[in-house]
Amino acid sequence: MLFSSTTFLFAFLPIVLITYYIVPRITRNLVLFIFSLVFYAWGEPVYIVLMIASTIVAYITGLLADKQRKNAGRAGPLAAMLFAVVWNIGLLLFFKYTDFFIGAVNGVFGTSVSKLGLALPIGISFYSFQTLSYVIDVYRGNVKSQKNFLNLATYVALFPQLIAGPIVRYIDVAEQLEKRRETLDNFAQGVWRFSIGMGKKVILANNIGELFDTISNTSQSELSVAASWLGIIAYTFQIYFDFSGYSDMAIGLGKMFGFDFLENFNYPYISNSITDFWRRWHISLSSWFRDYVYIPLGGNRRGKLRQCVNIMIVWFLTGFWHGANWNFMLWGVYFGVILLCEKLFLGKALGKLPVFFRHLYALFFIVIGWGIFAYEDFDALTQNFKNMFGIGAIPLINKQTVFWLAQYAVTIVILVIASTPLPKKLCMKLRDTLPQLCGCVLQPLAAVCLLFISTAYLAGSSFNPFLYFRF
Amino acid sequence: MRKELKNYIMIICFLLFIFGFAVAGVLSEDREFSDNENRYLQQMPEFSWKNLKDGEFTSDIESYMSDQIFMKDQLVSLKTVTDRALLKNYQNGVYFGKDGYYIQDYQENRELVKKNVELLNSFAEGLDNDVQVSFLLAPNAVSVLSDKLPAVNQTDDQLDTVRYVKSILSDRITLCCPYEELKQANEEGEQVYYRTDHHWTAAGAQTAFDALMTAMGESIPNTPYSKIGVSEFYGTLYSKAPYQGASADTVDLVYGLNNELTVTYVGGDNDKSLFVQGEHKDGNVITHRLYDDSWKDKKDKYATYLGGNFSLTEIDSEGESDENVLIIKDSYANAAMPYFCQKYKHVSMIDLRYYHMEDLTVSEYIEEKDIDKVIYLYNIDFLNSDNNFVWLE
Repeated sequence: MLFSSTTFLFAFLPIVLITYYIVPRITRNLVLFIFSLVFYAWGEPVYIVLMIASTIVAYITGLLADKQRKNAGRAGPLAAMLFAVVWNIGLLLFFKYTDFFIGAVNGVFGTSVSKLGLALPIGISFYSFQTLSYVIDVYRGNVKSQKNFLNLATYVALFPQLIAGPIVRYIDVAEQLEKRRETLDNFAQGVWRFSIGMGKKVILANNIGELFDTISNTSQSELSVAASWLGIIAYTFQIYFDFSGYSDMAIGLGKMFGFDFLENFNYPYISNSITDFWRRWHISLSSWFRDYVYIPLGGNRRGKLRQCVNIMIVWFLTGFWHGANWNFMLWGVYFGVILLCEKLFLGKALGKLPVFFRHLYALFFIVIGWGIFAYEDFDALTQNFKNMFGIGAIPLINKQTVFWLAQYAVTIVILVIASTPLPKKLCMKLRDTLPQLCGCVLQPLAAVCLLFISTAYLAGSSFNPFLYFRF
Repeated sequence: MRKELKNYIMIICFLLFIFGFAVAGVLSEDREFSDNENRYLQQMPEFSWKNLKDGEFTSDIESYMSDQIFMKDQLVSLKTVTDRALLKNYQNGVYFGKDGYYIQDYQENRELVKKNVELLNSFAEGLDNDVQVSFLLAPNAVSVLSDKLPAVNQTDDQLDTVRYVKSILSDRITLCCPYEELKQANEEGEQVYYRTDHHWTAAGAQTAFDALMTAMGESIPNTPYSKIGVSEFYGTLYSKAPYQGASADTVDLVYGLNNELTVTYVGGDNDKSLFVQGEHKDGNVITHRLYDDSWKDKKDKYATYLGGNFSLTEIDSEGESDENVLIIKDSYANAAMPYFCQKYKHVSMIDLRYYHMEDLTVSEYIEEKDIDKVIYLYNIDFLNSDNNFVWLE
């Protein structure tokens, strides 16, 4: 189920909220768990077995990986932790990457091994990483193992973050799973956050997504250089507002049930370097790779060369995590190389540039990155880049492009402003000067408007894709 | 306390919103059909384990929830309003033009135009030489009312298409494209196209008919007409971008004075889309009017003209000329029939979208009925998009 659907808004959520708040506190986790299973099974009735199996494995290996337990020994916890790694990575490899590797082998050796054709279990990339981080944290002694199966199962299945993150780590919510206080303050903040996320996803991302869709499906003969830039800029906005909107909704929903999830985005498009960008984009993913891959590999403590290798490994994996395709690998390696350059020499040079140019530099490479990310078909990818850089034998601009620009001009202006902290600052200022009017009238009004307009878009259009669903 | 209050307000607003829609959705009656969208709406699916396992049950529930959402038509309108506030004046292939006109976009498909015109050519060339063949090629609002289009648009020029058609059209066929005439009528204050529908109005059809008669070297019947308006018409283009601010059209039902008519829907007995009340005889349905009143209260009021489109319709009247005329046509012809019936005593209409595998091919029909004149009547958009011209044999 998607948050941005009428089924979620007007059936699932009301029922969960009522049930959650009328049952005794002690059964609230059970309510969340059961409804989360329904939420998951809605789109994947079969693979739910897989998720439960993963939870059981995490539960048992978690208990065994605890070095503090009686009779733990030395080898036991290590073996349990390694088993969890093998299980989770194995699951991911099998369900997500087998067909890709078969395809690659067939390509290289000219064999014709048939593909499995398995559908990707929804959210597998997210919950595998979550359960894995739990077991590793237990093994490292950073967090106690969870003795209560239901608490752990609730954590894994928790519907606000189940299918598209953020990758909530067990260590961050361990306490909240056992005792959390649902407060009015939290709930109200959650509503606000959820409404903003809904607006970002349904009004902004879907709107500009249509432009990218149109342009990427337009035949070569009707394109122009400007159009191919416009297309990829549209995608740049779409993926940010889509994904961060979804994270906002997840965080908001979490708050309604008394959870505090960490932030996943921090205005990535105002970055002044690519290093900066990756501190602001999909924070839960990059910090996961930092803590569970980069640092265990030695991070920056084993000399420059080793650090460079580590960075390349991490970014290759980050790219590959996004999907079993060459373009995602290329996308990861592309950022790995830029990050290395920044680390080695570019960073210093950039520091001397005026701020404006630093932003321009960062944005340029971010947008080019989305150009790699957006096209899974390699021919389409290269053709698009040829078009962008004027070697596609197409005009600089044409009537069609001017039309698209005119149609989306206002939307793009709004997207640009919404990508910066400006709206938030204005809200804060307003709240400081007119606290009563703002809190009691304007803010609730804005939330309801966003929800109403989003509902209108959901009712009125069939275009409601969700990009991160596939990953 | 103040903080508490603002939290209460926020939370109550939210709960009212989600529970409001949820409860209203349960209480309000489900609709079978949406006039506005012209399609059947999803009903509550029946549960079965198999449905559930296939994922069919859940996906049906999703469509049920969004199809039957409370105040759906108003919500769809709100979306259009928001899009317009973002200064988007194009939606689902339709421009929001000046003076409340919805105007359909036009993207030329030259290959298809070529193919269709060639089919028209070879059919005409295969006919006896004494059969006169004419072609009324109706321009659409996008060209005639081009001054009402948004300044920045992506439409192709229909006049290019007309020039192209002219350049490849067989000498056997007399072409009439009443672009100038319609433009002039519009400038003189006639409404020649509907604001909310893709068809021309009765006035537009009359202007075109007059132009066709002139091109064919015929006189224009000099008889007075009376008309009755059917108001509150929101047409097909409106449905593509419904909008509370749109103004309704009026469909004019035109009557030639002192003209007794007999309309025969050939094979109408078996046609489920024919609702017209009439006498059933030999598998045909016979009426004495050009209009089917059952459409007056429905959404598609343009279908009041002859009750829509059917494979073969024959109209006998007290028109001026004894000649037998066959009009091979799309729906634009329907609004022009009052004028044709004033001119010709025997008019047959064939719609190639439905005239498939009939007893007689079109050319056999022409022979059998001793047709004197064949008139192709198509609007440019149709010529540019339809694939049924192959049935012309």
